[in-house]
Amino acid sequence: MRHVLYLEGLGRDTPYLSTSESLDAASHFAGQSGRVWKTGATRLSAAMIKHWSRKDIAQLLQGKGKGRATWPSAFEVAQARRYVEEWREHLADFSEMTELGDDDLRELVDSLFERY
Amino acid sequence: MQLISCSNCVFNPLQYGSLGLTLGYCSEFKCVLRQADSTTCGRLFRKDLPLASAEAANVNHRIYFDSERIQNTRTRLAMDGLPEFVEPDDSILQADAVGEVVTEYGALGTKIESIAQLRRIEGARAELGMLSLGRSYVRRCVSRDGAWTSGLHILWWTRMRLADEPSVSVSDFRLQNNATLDKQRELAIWSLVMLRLTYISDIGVHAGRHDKAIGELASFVDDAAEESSTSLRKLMRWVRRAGIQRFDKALSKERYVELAQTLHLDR
Repeated sequence: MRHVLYLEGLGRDTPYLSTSESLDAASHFAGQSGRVWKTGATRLSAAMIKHWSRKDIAQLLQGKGKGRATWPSAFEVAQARRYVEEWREHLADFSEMTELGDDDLRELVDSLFERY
Repeated sequence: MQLISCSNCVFNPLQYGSLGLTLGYCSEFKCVLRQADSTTCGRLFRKDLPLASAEAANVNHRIYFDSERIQNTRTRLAMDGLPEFVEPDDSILQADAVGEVVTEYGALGTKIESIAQLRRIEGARAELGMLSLGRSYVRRCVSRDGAWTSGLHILWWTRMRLADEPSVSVSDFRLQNNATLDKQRELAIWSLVMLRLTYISDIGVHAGRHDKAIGELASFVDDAAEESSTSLRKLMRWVRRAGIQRFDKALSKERYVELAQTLHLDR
């Protein structure tokens, strides 16, 4: 919830990485100064990164949220779900990568994405 | 749209999500926002969050952004004086009915007068402007030791249209998102209905300590969301079957008239 709603702002400390199945959405968020990178669910899985598909996330974002998405405000859960639906969001979940240092993590992320 | 940007701030009454004009307007700095998804300042008060969370997000935001200047969301460089981002000349907005009112916000003697003008204009963009400025207006009044009743009339105007689904036309969209067109339209209407309910909840929170009945409205938007998630059909059903009844229990027409007369006495 914190991640999808940007509750801690840009550059927030989060184990999740937002991606979209839509090139238009990625281009929108890249803006004029950003760049679009691509990856795939199988590529993430091969690197032991959990992939949360749009449908997985939507299933969690109901009522006051389920599982890891449990949240005190049902309205905020619904807003998060709206964004996931509008931008066709998927998440790459790095929460199991707790033993990696910053440099190793950067290397891992770089290996998972290529320029579109 | 970017959540941490002027396009999602209550001080910009011209845009929300995919709704609105391509140009935004900042009612604080009195300028046209040409790339509202790329700018922000320390005053950001998010439209999409309920009061407590929007306050908390603002406290966090102020750590990184200056309240006295408009900055780029990514570089944090000041955008004042860069006309491709921020344009002080708002005359281009005067040709739009909603744009004309919001650029005169506060210039008509009282801000509530501008909000009342928005109420009289038909369409989703006018309602977006009314609710957006309404949230900022009441929050500021209360923060300056004013009463929650500063938002009483907007609360009642919102009540009067609760049962009606907002009408969103193709010209009300400022950008395409990636849902299907039907879904985009449905979610845009959903977000506007939720903005109505967020305003009602805001008032419930502001009134909480002073008026127990109105304070019951604080959880209005959360209760609606719990019943409906992102389904517009379920949301409108909740509003029509349960929401209106609950609102009227908290604020009947008689009580509204009574409180409104008190406002006149205060003047």
